[in-house]
Amino acid sequence: MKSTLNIWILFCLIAFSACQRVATVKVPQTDPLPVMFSFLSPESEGSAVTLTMSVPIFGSNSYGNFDPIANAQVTLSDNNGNSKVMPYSILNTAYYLDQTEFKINPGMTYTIEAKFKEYTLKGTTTIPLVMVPFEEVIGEKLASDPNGTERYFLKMKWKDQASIKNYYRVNLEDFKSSTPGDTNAFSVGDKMYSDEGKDGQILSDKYEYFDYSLSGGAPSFNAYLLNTDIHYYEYHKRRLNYYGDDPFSEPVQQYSNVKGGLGVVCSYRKSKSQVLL
Amino acid sequence: MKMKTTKLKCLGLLIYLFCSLTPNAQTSKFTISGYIKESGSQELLLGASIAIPALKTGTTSNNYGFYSLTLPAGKYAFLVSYIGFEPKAFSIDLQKNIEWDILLQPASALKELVVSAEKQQARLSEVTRMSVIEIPIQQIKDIPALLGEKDVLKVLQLLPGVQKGGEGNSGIYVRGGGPDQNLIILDDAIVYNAFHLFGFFSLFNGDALKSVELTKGGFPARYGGRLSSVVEMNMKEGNKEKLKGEAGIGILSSRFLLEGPIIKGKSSFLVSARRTYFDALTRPFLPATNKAGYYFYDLNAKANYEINNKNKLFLSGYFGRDNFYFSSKYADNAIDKGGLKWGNVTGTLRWNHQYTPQIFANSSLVFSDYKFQLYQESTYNGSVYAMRYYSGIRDYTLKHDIDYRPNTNHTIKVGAQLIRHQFVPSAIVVKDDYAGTNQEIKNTIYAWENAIYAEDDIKIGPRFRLNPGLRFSHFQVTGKNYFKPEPRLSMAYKVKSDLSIKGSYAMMNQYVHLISNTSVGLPTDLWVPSTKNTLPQTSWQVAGGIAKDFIEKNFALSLEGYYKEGSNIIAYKEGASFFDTDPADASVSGTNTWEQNITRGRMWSYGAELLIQKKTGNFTGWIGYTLSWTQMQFNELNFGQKFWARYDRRHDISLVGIYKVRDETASHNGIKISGTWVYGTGNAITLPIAEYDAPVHQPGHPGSNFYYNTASQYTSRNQFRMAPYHRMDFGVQVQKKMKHWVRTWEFSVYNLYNRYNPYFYYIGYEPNSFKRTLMQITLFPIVPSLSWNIKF
Repeated sequence: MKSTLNIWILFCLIAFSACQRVATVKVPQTDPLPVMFSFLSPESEGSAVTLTMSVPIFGSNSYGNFDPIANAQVTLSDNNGNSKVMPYSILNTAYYLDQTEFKINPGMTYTIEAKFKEYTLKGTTTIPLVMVPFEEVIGEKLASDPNGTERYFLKMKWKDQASIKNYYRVNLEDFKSSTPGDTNAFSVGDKMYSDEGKDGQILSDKYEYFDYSLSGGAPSFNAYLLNTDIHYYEYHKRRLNYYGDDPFSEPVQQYSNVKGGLGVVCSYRKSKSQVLL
Repeated sequence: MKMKTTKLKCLGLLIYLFCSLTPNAQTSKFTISGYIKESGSQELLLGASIAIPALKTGTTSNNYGFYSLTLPAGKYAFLVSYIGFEPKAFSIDLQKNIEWDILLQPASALKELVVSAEKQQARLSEVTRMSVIEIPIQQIKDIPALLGEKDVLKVLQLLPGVQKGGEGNSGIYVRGGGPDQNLIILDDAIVYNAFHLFGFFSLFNGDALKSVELTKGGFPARYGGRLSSVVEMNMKEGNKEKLKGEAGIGILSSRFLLEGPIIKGKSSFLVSARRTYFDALTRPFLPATNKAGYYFYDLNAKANYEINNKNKLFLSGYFGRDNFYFSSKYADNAIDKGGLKWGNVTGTLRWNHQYTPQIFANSSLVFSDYKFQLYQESTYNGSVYAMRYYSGIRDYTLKHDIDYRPNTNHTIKVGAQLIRHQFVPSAIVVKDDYAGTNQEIKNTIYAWENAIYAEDDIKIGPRFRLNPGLRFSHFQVTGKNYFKPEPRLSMAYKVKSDLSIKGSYAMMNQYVHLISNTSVGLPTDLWVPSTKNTLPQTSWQVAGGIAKDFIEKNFALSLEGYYKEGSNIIAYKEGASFFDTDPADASVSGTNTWEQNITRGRMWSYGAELLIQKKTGNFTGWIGYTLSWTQMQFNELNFGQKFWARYDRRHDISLVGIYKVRDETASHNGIKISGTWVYGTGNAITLPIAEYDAPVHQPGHPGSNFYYNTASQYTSRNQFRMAPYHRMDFGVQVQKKMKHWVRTWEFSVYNLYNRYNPYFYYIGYEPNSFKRTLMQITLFPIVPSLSWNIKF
């Protein structure tokens, strides 16, 4: 279906390609901005902060190269007055502190501050208090085609924590039960939820999965339920809907809570369920 | 004390209105009524003026050519006038009710009388309504057009308060409203997708039309269901006396029209058709194994029958299709084919009935259908895999309207309307021989949209006119009911005989919505109903202005200011698109997927519009200027901040001129030249300005960086202005009287000075460089065209 429409769009572009030229309008100029990302969680082994610079589009010949900035002073602090400088880890290509060195605790507020050159960046997040588990995750095989394609259906539900504003991400990765450690890092399902209007209720999600691998053996899944802060939710809600620039569609503007630059400092609690089919 | 005085004044006004409606017992009153028609063809003339100069009063014919005047017994001189027709004066001694059909001669037959006719026609300053513009059909035919394809909606884009979507696009944006907020009616039938070729041409073939009227504000109560405008078009009935026709051959399409009597003087027909031949012209250049092409066609037909002077029947219809297709034969046993098809079908059965000389009624039974489908089929060794996606909307409408004219001070209109909507926002049919499946998933929603209304055009004294109205609308969908009152008011105060001050207020509700995330008006845009989650869109608008007629110089001026607010305005969420509305998802989740992809917000639009229009004489045309601001606010878009609407246009200018150099005669050609110039502030768009590394967090692989992480940093939504749009078009028509017909050659040039107006921008590279820059695509540089037309 999409390809038919694309053929039409291509047809139009070819028909009118003779009329393309450099725009005569003055383009907006911008300076490179520092970019900071950090996803904090009590469930992760450590805390990582990445720092890069944005690249202005107009007049630039750089495309998709964002070298990490390794010479900044990055500090992680909490609302109890504790703070620690984060060293740069070449292995992680990020500023990194193990949880044994600086604990990330539920309900606490953390601030990350980075300084380099003339830039000072700051982002703050409050770790969600509770980890919300799935109440149920069900996977079932719906049908299989004679050519070997198999169709599966996964559904899951969980109970929202009442009286608290909650945000969720459901993320799925598939793997073969024969090689359980070899999971696919590309998500096969990803959705963001807010409990607006559903406070304290049962929330649910559904996915269809087609297995074209013909390799035998049923697919299995790791299903992650993340209870996130608002910054994680706002950022990923837009980021997961971002597919690049299309002149015919309204663009998706990315969210940032970093003062002095772009990016996000946010947090989550993670629970995991495994579906073995 | 002040409140008491106000109450007394209101009471006085009510008593006056009541008394003016009640027949005066002491003086006998009689009614003269009938139809105003074109002499010869018997075509009914809508909006013709019938005046009694001695009493300084009069009326106009309604949408079906009917007029009615109730006056005290006596002798009266009447003067009837209509644009392009010779005026007619007659006297009648009114001592009983009289049925009197008035025939007007087309002006070209007696040119020297036209000047006086022009001076007698209905003046802008005498009409209660404001924000209404009527375009004479002849002007639509005379204005130069892209590839010679005359287009009603593109002419409307040249009017103040109306913006166009993009280069060559027929979509109209009225006073900040979206293209779905226009009620486009053809012979009482709602037309949902009014465009051919992805918006480049409208459906409406000017040959078959009798009248076009645009209402931008001050909506009378008889109109409802859309927020921004009403474009009402009526088809010609067909010549009742003799067979007439028109035909034309252009670069893109050919067309013909045939009209004539079925029973002379009682019944007539009209058939009009148009088809493009781009596909036929390109076919010889394609390899035998591959076929691809595009065409559209449309067909208008109408028939009428006059049962007697009190009853008339009209049956009219429109049928149009667009088809883009391709097929490839890879081997003898392997074929791939696919395409897009879309089109409208409308059908209207109308019954005009005159209950009494003062009461005229119209009943309409209307069918309207719009369907879009996308299909793909692969055949290999006789085994077929076929997929068809479709969406659409189908309406069945029953309406009854009554026009009651008790005396010269009141024109009362009341009516009711029932519409049964059948929405198919998305459906999919899959046939797979290999898998042995044959599946259809269809998501259909049924709804009722009903309304009753009443309005009265009231003359209070010689200077003041008032048109109060009330419409009650009701929408019922899947157990949810919406009831909405919609008050309307228009008024005019005549300061001088040729100058009036006008004001209006209108509240509107819209229960059907078009969801689109593109700027080009693709047929993939979905029509969806209000539901319990998707609330009706609402708006209110106030407008004020002046209307002045320059009688000696034959032109009129109107200057209006308006303020409009809308709520529950619908837009796609950021990143959502047509491709997310997979009916298979709906079948899994049990919800309407389109509802999850849309968000609601508010809009504000305000501005001023100037129109100086000359409708008659050798030189006709207009100057239009609009100064406007349109802003939107959605909690889920632009981080909740207000932003300029894409079609917010600070300045919009249009100059239109048509000059008849001379009429055609047996000895020499008739020549007409025309030109337009338009200027508009560039559209407001969002532009990427930088890129950065924006990772997606991977819960299962926290350290991994497998995703392509580049995201763009944008200006805030619609903060960037495209280059201003301007263009000049020019046309020459040369007419020659032949033995059996009048032949017209038309040469026109679109974009005369070859302005490279941007259609869209994208990020590209500077010539001979790897540096990135902003590139633009221009659709139409200078485009000359030639067409040949005959009329017999």
